Amino acid sequence: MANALYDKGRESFLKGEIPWLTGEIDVILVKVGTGTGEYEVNLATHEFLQDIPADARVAKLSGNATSPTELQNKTAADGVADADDAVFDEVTGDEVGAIVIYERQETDTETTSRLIAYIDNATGLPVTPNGGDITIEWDDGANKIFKL
Amino acid sequence: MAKENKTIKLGGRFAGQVTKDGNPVEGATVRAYSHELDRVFTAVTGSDGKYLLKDLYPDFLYHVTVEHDDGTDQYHAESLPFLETVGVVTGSILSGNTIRGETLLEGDILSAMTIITDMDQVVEGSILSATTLKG
Repeated sequence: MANALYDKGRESFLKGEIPWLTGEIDVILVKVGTGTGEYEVNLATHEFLQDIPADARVAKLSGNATSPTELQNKTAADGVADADDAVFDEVTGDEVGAIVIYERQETDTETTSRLIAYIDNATGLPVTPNGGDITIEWDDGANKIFKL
Repeated sequence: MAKENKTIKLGGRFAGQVTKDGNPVEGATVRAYSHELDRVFTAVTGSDGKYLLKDLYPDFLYHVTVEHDDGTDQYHAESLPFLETVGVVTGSILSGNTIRGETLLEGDILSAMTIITDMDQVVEGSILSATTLKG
């Protein structure tokens, strides 16, 4: 499927529930599939972090040794979301098939951290971690990470 | 296995401009078709003739076509060879013939098309398919 915003995430932006610039925006690498411990996205219904099985979360920005714990230098000009490239330190685990962007609430509260974007179409995906760093380079074109 | 840093890069796309006689063509339909994916991505040029095909899957070959029919001018052009997008490919369709009332035969070369990649590599192509256009 194509990269997309979660419907509930769009709704939350319109309701003012996701403060892109001031909120803690995190990124996770996820294992995709339909089996146990894999994530099968549903853009229409998935809303919170709890919709992604814990075992499907291969790596996240927060908690890594040297990478920032959230997206840095976020911008929102003209409805276009952008930020510094994201670096995941020394990633190990299952094959990563997609990237999920979400707004972290408190300490990753499962029921309130809102899903924003699902990205499974990018050069380098899927990727199999081997202990090295994984860097996400956002689009340098007009739409950057995403455009509302 | 040795550790190896890896990069995930967003933004596989074709971007460019459709022009005719040096003027931008609005409303031309640009398609990128992947045989392997059996999927087509479509964009329509704006008033400046520019188009953006985005969210293309990386590491696949795409057959890019341009079609335009505004009731007066009609043309159809295809890329040659199949193009691979890894990151950004920008380019311009440099020519477009006005074709009316002609039946084209397969292999007829009607116009040249040049796509310049971000590596300054020029990919030249021509019209390949048989197309019948009404006048």
